[in-house]
Amino acid sequence: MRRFKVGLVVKKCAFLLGCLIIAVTAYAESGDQTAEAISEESHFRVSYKAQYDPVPLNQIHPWVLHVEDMEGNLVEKAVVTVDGGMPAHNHGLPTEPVATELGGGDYLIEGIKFSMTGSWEMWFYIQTETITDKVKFELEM
Amino acid sequence: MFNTRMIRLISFHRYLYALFVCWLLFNNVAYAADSSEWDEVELSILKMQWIGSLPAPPPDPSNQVADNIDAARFGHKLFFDSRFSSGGKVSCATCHVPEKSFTDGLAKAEGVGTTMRGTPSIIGVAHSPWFFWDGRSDSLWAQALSPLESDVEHGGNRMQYAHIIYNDADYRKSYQNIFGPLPNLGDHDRFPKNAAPNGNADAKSRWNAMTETDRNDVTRVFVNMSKAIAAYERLLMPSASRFDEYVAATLQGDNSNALTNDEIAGLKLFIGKAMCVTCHQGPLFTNHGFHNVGAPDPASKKSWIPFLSFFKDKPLFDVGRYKGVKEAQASEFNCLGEYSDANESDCAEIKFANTKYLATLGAFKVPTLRNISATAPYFHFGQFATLSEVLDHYNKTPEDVVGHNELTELKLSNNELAQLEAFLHSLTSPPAITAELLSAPD
Ligand code: HEC
Ligand code: HEC
Ligand SMILES: [Cu+2]
Repeated sequence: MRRFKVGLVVKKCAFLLGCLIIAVTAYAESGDQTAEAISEESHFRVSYKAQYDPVPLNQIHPWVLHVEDMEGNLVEKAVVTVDGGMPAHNHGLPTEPVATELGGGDYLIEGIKFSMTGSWEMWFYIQTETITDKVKFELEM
Repeated sequence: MFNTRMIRLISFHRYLYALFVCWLLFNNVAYAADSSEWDEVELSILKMQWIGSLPAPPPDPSNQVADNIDAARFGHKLFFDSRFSSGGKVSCATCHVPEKSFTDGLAKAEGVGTTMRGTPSIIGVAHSPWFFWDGRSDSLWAQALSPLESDVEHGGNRMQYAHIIYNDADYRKSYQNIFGPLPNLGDHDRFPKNAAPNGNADAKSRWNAMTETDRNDVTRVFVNMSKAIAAYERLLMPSASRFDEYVAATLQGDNSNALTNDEIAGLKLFIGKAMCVTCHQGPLFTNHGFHNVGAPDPASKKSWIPFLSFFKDKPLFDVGRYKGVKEAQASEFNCLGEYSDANESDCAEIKFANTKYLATLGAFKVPTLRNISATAPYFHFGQFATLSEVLDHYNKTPEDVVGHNELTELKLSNNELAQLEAFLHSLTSPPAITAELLSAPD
């Protein structure tokens, strides 16, 4: 006679549900090529565009960061520095990306690389003559 | 009219019916979650790990002859030729033994002396942007220079090697066809028998007595021979394993007997709960990155002040990538140096490499897991003799002796560990090149 394994069934249901959730989130977030965010202290409206869509794994590639103030004026001559990593794994970026100003509120960020699957954060520190603020982007690779 | 008894009876029937439907449903679900069934996400990961997703190795702009077949044939001969050593006994193949997936079965390699770390497999290595456990070289050719002049590996010197090529009619012809004329090495006043900038005192003083042009010419020969060896190594790719056969069938929606149920369960853990795939990712089962997985350091038994170790020149502990990345950036043989054929714009890896200690301390290169059955012992010092010891380490995840272990405890059961191990044994396959290129040429 076949035994009714309640524990097993419950586990398997939970597993399937889990997979479904993972599938849905992965679909929604997988390495967006562009995104927009407001800086932490609401000084800047910042967007990025990665060179590739979706953002590639394990390949060094540039982003263009676009910075405006909250009134929509282009933010020029800012000093931009880059940091990031995977908080869940306690490690930073595999590279040290470098920013150069392109003009028109655009900044070229060279040397970005994501070396593993999972949740990544990219932090951009934006410093003008009067304001220092930072903005965070989250990416699911 | 229903009396209460009937109501009870009906509801009891309903109850039974509901139970029956539930049973059917659960049974179906249980069936669907059988370990050989994969959902969309899992299938996409399987495809990512599958050998069919392995592209040709990325171009190496720092090596003009990287994909030159004549250079690869020449490099094949050099790889197996033990004349390129101080005592005539050591070749690359002494430690990178083809039958052992180009490893040697030892915790520390034995050349002319004993190396500090163990020999990694070089199958698929051309896909990596960094070489050595600590990534202290940024190209295959730059990597090859280092064992050739190491006093514990080949033990010889570049001047000696240039003479060997010059004096061997077959080598001289191959070399000149590929790289152009050799300097006039027959002139023994200008070119002594042994000389190198980093050899013993004798070899060093003879090297310093040479003209700068002659020194550069000899170094150029040394670099070119390594570029030929690199061209050969670029051919060392894996063929399909049982795992790949299974994935190929599964992606087509076919059933496959290529893996046993235990192996399939292990694969499921590998890409799921055990999260191995976050680092051992892609068809070569490595993301080519550097990570700290809390590898035990034998030196930790000798000292209780690990913290101080990385401030020293010769750290007590193996600090891994922390030191390796600096060595790569300082090397005259890196992508940006004069012996590289690349433009500056081709050198993003070395230009943008992360050198911060938080990202690099105690981090080591993620090794390929292809042919892992054949490459014991494991980890950079051969710390673990068997795969079950490796898995036990991952399951417990101790803190690292120098840096910070990125992983967290897995808490897998013994049965799950056994399944993972079973799966790892399904990754074995011979290299995808002709037998002729896998052994010493006649
Ligand atoms: C005495 C044994 C020995 C000899 C001889 C030897 N190797 Fe190695 N090889 C090693 C060891 C040990 C390492 C790892 C050293 C480290 O990371 O510090 C290594 C690393 C490598 C790597 C890096 C692999 C990776 O994934 O980063 C390559 C490629 C390689 N060797 C190729 C060669 C070539 C080509 C030759 C001949 C010119 C050669 N080796 C000679 C022992 C040897
Ligand atoms: C955070 C990245 C990371 C994760 C996750 C990870 N590994 Fe590793 N793995 C490494 C690194 C780095 C090494 C080399 C460590 C060293 O030598 O110090 C390694 C080494 C190994 C080795 C030995 C290979 C050799 O040739 O010596 C095996 C086997 C292995 N890992 C299996 C696994 C399994 C199974 C899992 C999942 C339970 C896993 N790894 C998870 C990074 C990772
Ligand atoms: Cu990570």
